[in-house]
Amino acid sequence: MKVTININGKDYSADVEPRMTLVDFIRDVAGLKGTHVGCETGHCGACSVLIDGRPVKSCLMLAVQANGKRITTIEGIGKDGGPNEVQMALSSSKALQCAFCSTGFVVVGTWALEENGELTEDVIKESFIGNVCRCTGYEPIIKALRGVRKND
Amino acid sequence: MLIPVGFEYLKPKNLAELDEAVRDGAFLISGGTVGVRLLKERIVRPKLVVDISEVEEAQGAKQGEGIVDLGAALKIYQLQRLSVNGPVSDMIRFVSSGIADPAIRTMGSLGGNIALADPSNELPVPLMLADASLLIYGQHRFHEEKIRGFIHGPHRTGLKPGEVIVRVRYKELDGYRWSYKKHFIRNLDHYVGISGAMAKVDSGKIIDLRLVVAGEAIMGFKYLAPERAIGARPSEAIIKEVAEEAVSGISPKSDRQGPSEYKVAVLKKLVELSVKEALGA
Amino acid sequence: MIDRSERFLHGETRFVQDIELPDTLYLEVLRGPVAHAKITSVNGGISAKDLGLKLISVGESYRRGSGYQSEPVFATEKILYYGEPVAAVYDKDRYRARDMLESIDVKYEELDPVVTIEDALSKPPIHEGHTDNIVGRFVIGERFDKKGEVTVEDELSMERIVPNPLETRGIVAWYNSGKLNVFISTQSVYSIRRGLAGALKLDERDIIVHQVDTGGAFGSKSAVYPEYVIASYISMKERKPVKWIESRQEHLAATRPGRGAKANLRLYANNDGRVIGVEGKVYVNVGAFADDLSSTAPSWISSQITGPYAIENAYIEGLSVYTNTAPQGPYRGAGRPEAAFFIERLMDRLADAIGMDPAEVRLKNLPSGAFRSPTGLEVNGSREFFEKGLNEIGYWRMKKEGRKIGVSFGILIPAVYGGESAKITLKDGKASVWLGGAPHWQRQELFVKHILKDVLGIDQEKVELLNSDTAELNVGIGTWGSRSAIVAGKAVYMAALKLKEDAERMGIRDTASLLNSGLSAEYYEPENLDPSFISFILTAAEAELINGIEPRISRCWAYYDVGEPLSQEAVHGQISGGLVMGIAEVLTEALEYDKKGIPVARTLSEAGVAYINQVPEMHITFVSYGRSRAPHGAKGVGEAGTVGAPPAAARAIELITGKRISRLPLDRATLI
Repeated sequence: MKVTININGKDYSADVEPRMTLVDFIRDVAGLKGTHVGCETGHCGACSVLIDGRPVKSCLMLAVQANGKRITTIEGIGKDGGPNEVQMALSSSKALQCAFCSTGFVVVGTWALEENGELTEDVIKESFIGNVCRCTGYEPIIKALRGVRKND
Repeated sequence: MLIPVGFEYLKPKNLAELDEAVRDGAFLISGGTVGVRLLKERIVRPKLVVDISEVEEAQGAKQGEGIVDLGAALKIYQLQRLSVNGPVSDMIRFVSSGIADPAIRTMGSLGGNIALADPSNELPVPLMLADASLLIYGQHRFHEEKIRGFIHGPHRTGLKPGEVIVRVRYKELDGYRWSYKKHFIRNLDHYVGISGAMAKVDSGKIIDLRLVVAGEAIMGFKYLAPERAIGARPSEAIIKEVAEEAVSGISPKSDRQGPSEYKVAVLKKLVELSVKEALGA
Repeated sequence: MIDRSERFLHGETRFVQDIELPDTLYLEVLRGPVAHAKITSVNGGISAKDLGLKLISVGESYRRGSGYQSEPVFATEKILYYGEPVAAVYDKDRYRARDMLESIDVKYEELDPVVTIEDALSKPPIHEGHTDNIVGRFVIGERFDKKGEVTVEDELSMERIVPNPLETRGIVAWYNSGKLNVFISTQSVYSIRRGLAGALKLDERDIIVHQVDTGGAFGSKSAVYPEYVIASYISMKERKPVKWIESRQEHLAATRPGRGAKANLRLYANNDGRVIGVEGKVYVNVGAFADDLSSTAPSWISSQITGPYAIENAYIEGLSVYTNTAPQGPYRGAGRPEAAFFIERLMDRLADAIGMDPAEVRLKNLPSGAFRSPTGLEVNGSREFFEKGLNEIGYWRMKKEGRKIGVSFGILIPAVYGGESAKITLKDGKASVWLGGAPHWQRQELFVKHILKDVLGIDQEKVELLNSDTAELNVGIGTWGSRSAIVAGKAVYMAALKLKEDAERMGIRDTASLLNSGLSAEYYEPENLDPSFISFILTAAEAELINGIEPRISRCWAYYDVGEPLSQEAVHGQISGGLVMGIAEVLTEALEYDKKGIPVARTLSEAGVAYINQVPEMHITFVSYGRSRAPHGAKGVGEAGTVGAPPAAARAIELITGKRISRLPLDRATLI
């Protein structure tokens, strides 16, 4: 089936099997490997991407379901060619460890900041309720992001 | 890795197209948060998947003459910001905001949450309290069914093969207070218990009290209208009686969600907390 | 130079799932659908009969003891655990390979499964030719007569846990021009090389193991697994790259879980709180197959049963047993949390029995000077440390305020044995560093940068830590057991000193010239345990009830001795991560089996891993209670949280529910 998905502003078209998951389309068809596969059942958030600005778990979606949609992956996140506020906060705090989860955290965190204007402790705990970080115990991530505001 | 069996995929734009698309053995998905997982685990192995998320008759929300009318294709996150008024709608907004996580709420739909009838699905709770009606379409005709009779048990509903929920309608319950409590051991896992309560209290007396309990403790959804509470003054004794009634006769199985007695104790506690709050006691 | 963390925040990753070589074949493994069965036939795919007898065993080169049943590549006559590889298929199309799995036909007759330690002791042996299910028997300490005025006893257990790093296991094996190139997510490239050489009967010199970005491990990525052998075997046959990525469900079923230990212990004491001795039995479920590490686990646990305390007598019998469950392996702490949970729970029991404050009982038993335990462990005096720690966290004040605080004292014994290697190359304006222990970014780069700045004056941004690689560094050990900061840190330090001497000899004075000098240095030296490496850890916790019934840990305190802290962030992140894992182990996390030996959890959530809503308010303090013998003074920290948190959290919950906790995870039946 012919599928066209706009990822990070660029159209990717391919003839794919309807059973192909969106995350496989992103990784294997578009070749964007920053979106990771961690659990395959929607319980870890490593595969989080944005569709029309809202987070989805791309392992629980078929590529055909996203046909014609606009998607932002980690590779399309940033600000003025550099890191955005969430990326900067995570980078300077050295909060990450193995970093397999981090692209998912950045994607969801970017949405949460856009949605709320500021990352309070409550916003952080509610927004990342579906993202697993196995290394840090979350506390360094909470500390790094708490108080981050959107700079326009 | 989890990869579905091969299938054909159709995405009808309206009910007429749906009629053409649906044939024997078709597997319907809306958001797909549950359906795609069933496909990936090969628990379902359909030849055809029909995506009903864009059926135009199932979109949008409106309110008029005291009736709220919601499209079944509405996503959970859209319910979070529903611009309709009244306690039932307030409760729906609250319940929606706590479903799974932000990504699942982007994907999952109102219709899916009802049609799957998983005892941990949350939207049936406020809708059963409000005695909502479901507009169902299939085999070229519409019919209406009350949600209270629609859910027969865990994962069992009155939906026949090829039928879809198009709209969900309820009357607002003005002057009611509501409360919603749920309990889980593991995050994003099934709920041990859910209890939703709505009550109307006037001049210190209970005019109406409605309760819906769900979750693993009862493996389904149960609606209760505890008669003995009507006309009484809200009190600890009444609350305890209602809680007893809610858990009477249930015997959940012991499993990873805890032993049977724990599940009963949890549900009882939730009923007490929610009834107390709904009564303003 | 782009720092690794920068790379990751932009999604520029090189995890094994990201590697796509031309002409890759994708491997899928068919697994045993039951825990115990006799195989009558396997049709389709590659299975045991195709490999030939020579390639039968995965763990060949790990076997030192005799009589262990080591793991076959494919199940042979019997399926011995749910998830055991039975056959495999491969194809150039990943989706098609998955479809092909369904064409394999396995016929089997189900047998009665041995699931628990109790089953193992009462049911017939699972292995042919064995007389029982016992793997190893150990006696630690000596029998003693003095029994004291008070005896407390308990049956204590810690359930199995699946390590569940967020990245599952995976490998790309490519046999090319007589060499087997392996790209892998691992804790040790050397362990993989040795294991593959043993299993495939290859010369280690013909195997090159490249670690790729590794997304967590927690013990699960140290050993060679059947799938690695299968992928390599197919690559040698097809002369093409073979890629295998584990699914989460495979991980939950077949990746080596940790813990699975039980103890029946008695603590003898006097009414003044002085402990006279500890006695009893320690059991470990090794699963269907054993290696040196799992079979000796009861001995390792028992050897540290006296913790930091000056307990004069100990007599423990240890037993490791086979069951029809996945082979056991290390999980963050690997024996240390078991020992701590056992002794600390008994200390709380003793305190309750004699009506004394639990911290007071513990202080009573701490030595102020060095002490050699009856199990042969040498531990330095720690009374001053714990006294100070209790004050620092405000234990006595909170207690006076009526708050219910659970506390645990512990030791962290790092796995320094074997030492570690490091290589530093100064070229092209930067310092490139390789470690023997394959970093999965427990923030090793932070201490590496710290040391290079310290010794050579090289700025942090000029230093890059690369993934471990046998092509760059031919000898090494691995990362586990809270060892990296100590042994890898030492190796970097020593290699840096060597470079400093070389530079001085060559008259290089400024760092710019140094960074373009082309100089390179390697260091490797074995290491042995020394009391100065053992750190002390004090953990405390406070609990609350959700919906009036379900406990959660609301606050926790860690007062840990880390020696010379090499990086504040690295140490902090290791402690917070360990604490949350330790708390999850009390409340939600476990690998539970049904009566037929099939794992109950099929998702990460069902496995009970901690999510962000489980994180308590944390008060983490780390101090240096003396430097270690290593030249840079570091002690271990990686497993401190998983050692300290479970007993403290269990006690905190016990204090608010009034119900005794003897097994983990928490049995909800005790809450009503």
